[in-house]
Order: sequence, then C-alpha cells, then structure tokens
Amino acid sequence: MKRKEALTAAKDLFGDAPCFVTVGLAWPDWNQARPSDGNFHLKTLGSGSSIGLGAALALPNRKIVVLDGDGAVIMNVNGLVTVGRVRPKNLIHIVFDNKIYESSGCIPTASAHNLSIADFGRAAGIKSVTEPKTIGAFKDAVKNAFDTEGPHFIVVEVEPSGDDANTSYSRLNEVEGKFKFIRYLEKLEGRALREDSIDVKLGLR
Amino acid sequence: MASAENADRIIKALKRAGINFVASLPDASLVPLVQGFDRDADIIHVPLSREEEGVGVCTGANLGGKRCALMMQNAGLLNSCNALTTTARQLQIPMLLLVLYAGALNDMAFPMLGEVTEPVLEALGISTYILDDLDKAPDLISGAVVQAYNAQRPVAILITKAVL
Repeated sequence: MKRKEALTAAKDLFGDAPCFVTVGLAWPDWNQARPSDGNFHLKTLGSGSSIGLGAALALPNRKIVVLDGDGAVIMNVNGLVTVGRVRPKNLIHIVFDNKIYESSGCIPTASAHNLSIADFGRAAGIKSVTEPKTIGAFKDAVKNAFDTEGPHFIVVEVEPSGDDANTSYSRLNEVEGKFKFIRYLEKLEGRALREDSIDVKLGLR
Repeated sequence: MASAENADRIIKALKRAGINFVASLPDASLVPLVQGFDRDADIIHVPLSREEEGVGVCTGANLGGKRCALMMQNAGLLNSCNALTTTARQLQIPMLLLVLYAGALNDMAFPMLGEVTEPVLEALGISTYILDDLDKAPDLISGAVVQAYNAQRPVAILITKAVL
C-alpha cells in the first residue's frame, strides 16, 4: 500500500475534521485527496502530536486529526509520551511509516531497523493503537477512530511513493494558511477563536 | 525555598491577563506553580516531557482559541529554539514564555546557562522582560501578554529564583 492510495480511499471518512499534516509529501497527497482550508501544513518536523494535542484540548468536542510520518514521529517521541499521559479522547494520530526520510533524500529511519512505532505508542500509554495492513483495514481503523473515544494511534506501513511521488508541492504562505485554518475552525465551531490583539484597558482591567 | 503564596500571586496575575492554558516542565523552584496550575479549575495544564513539545501544544491550543503560557527552566528554552523559530515565530503565534532564570545574577547554579539565555532570546527575536520583584508581576505579566498578542509572537518573562 502507498500513502496516497490509502488517503484517497479513506478521504470521505474524515468528513470536515481539521487535519494537521506533517512536513513532506504527505501534504500534497492529502491536500489533493481532500482539498480544504481545514488542512494545516506543519512547519516543524515532529510537531504534529504536540500541536494536535493542544488543539484537541482546546476543542474537546471535535475530532482532531494528525497525519504524520515515521521520521517526524521519531524526532518528537516526547509528543507520544505526553499524549499517552494526558489521553485526549478526541485525538486521532495517523502515522504513515515508509521507513525512510522520503522528503530529504530517502535515507532509512530507525523504523527500518529495530524500532516499532506502534509499540512505542502502546508503551507511552496511548489508549487505542492499531496497525492496519491493508487499505480495507486502514479504512476500518479510521472509521473506528471517528466512532469511538481515543486517543487513537494508527500506524500504517507503506511503500515509498517512488515514481508516484507528488511533484506539485503547493507552497501556501504559512501565515495565510493559518488564518484560513482558524476561519475554518470558527465556522465549524460557530464562535470566534482568534484574538487579533488585546486592548489593555478592555482586555485586562 | 519556593513558596505557595508567591506562586498564588503569579497565578492570579496570569489569570487576570486571561491565561487559561499552561504547558510546563518542572524546575525545583517552579514546583508550587506547577501544583497551583494542577489545582486551578480555570486553567488547562499540560505536563510535558520535553519543553520543545510545549511550543507545539501551545500553538495548537492557540489555534483553538486559548491564551497560552509555556513554563520551563532556561535549559528548556534552549531545547525549544527550533520550534520557537519554525512554528511560533514563522506562524506568528502569540504565547507567554515563563522561564525560570537559572544562572542569573546571584544564582550560583548553571552560570553558563545564565550567560547565554538573554543573547539566545535576542537572536530568536523574542522580547524579554525580567521579573525580579514580585510586586511587579501583575503589570509585567499583563503587559507581556498584551505585547504577545499585539505583535503576534512569543514574549518571554525571565523569573529570578528570589521571586519564588
């Protein structure tokens, strides 16, 4: 299975859920499968679990999705430790494990050797950890994650993109992307979330 | 020895400035503050395992409408430099950095850490204020939060051990 195939097959199961997407080729794969202002392009490798946790705690009645990669997760395993401790019920963290740093030269990651990312998630205390092996099983895992309380950690072994690698990496200005994402959240939530500035007199005294 | 009474005054100042979300990693001097955040029903408190995560956690919570503070020792500030740069600065995310200033003047521990702290913050483009008098905490904290939002970036308060 390839990441693009899996995401394309499962896209309708995500509905309008906000998705934080890791740096790299997962971004064009997902943004082409489900084009939406609700897709947030992360900038710091590994920050997905942490930003997803913060958003999940701030918006506890909404499923929050993180689409991640093995290289990113390994860079911030602390994020898994904290998710396993705090256990936000509405966080769905999906890791596509292609066992290489695909966007930076295809050098193998630790998961190509002795690391099991799913076992790490279990050891961190994440409540629901699954390892779907087929596209059908992946769709079942995603559906289950939306239907039941988490946190959910879905680790999917995928082949490298190879010749299917997305070459159209649209680079949206990150601040514009942030504003679009916040407006999208505000529309979903039906309330204001963003504070442009704080008036010292009105806001604090 | 850090006192619960001093910590309560700082928490009161944070709440007056509208802070309702805190991510933290403890230092011995910060223990009363950590315990205070845990007890406070008005504040969501996330205990971290490495400080750099906290930049991400506060960013996600900020997108969801929370006013956030990240509390840590200055060693943790050094751990957080990449996320502060490529997430908080680059995406223009306001947050308050409450940093215990180990190695400050009159603090014998970690002199090297004390020496590099302010130059690193300056290099990151993060405005920095020093809290060395508890009576100044309300004005300094509210001023820093206002500045963080109006400038859309992190603002740091370095807390000397004497204050706690």
